[in-house]
Amino acid sequence: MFNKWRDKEEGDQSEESEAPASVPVKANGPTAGVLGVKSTPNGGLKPSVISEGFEFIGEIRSTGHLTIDGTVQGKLSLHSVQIGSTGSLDGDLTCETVNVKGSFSGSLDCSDLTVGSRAVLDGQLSYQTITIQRGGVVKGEMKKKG
Amino acid sequence: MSDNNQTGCLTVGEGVILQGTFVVPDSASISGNIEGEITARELILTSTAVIRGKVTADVIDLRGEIYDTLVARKSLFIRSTGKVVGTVQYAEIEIEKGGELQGTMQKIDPPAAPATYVVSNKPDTSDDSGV
Repeated sequence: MFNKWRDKEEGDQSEESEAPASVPVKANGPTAGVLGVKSTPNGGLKPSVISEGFEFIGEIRSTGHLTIDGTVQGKLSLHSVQIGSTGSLDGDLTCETVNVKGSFSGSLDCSDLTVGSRAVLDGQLSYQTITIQRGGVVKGEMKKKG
Repeated sequence: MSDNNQTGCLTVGEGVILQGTFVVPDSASISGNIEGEITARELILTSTAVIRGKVTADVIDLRGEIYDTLVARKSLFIRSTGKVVGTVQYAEIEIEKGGELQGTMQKIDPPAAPATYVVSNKPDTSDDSGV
């Protein structure tokens, strides 16, 4: 039963070469070493997951990775964030690497922003590099840093 | 692409500077500088192109720079060397890594039928991205 939605999600994302939510997002990303468990970038932090159906309101601070498949409201400061296709984040996000497949609204300050084909972003977005896949929606104020 | 039939097309070479208002029924390929207003069906800006003013097109393929106002009624493709600063309205957008986007972004609905010319009566069904 629990695996059901995850199977479904993997099916949904099959066109994208991403791993399931419970493992680090990008093989060549900053958290890649975490997969090997022995190597410990980001202070040895394991990736965290806010699962589908989970709602969180508050403040999160970490130097690690967070996958959001549920609903988050608040202020987040992390190294890397993935908002999955079922995930939504409303608030302030400060981050190095952001990969959005779901929805985001609020204020975003990041270095590397990737917007998936079904993602919707609304608000003040500040980035150094941006990639938008066809179909991704970006509304609001865009600002390039540096 | 406009080599075979240049009816309704505009080509601006590198180093050419144009000022004014331009209405291009078909394809505009820009490598030079334009100051003013340009409306086209398809707008292709090479990496040396710079437009300052209002740019309106159904399809925009951008390797150069646009400052001020940009309206892409169907699709906007910003390549890695592309840069847009100002107000951007688009129906569909894609940006390669390295592409630059600064200013106010607004999503618009794609036209049900082409506004400035008639080619097909088919409604644009490509809008499966709005959800």
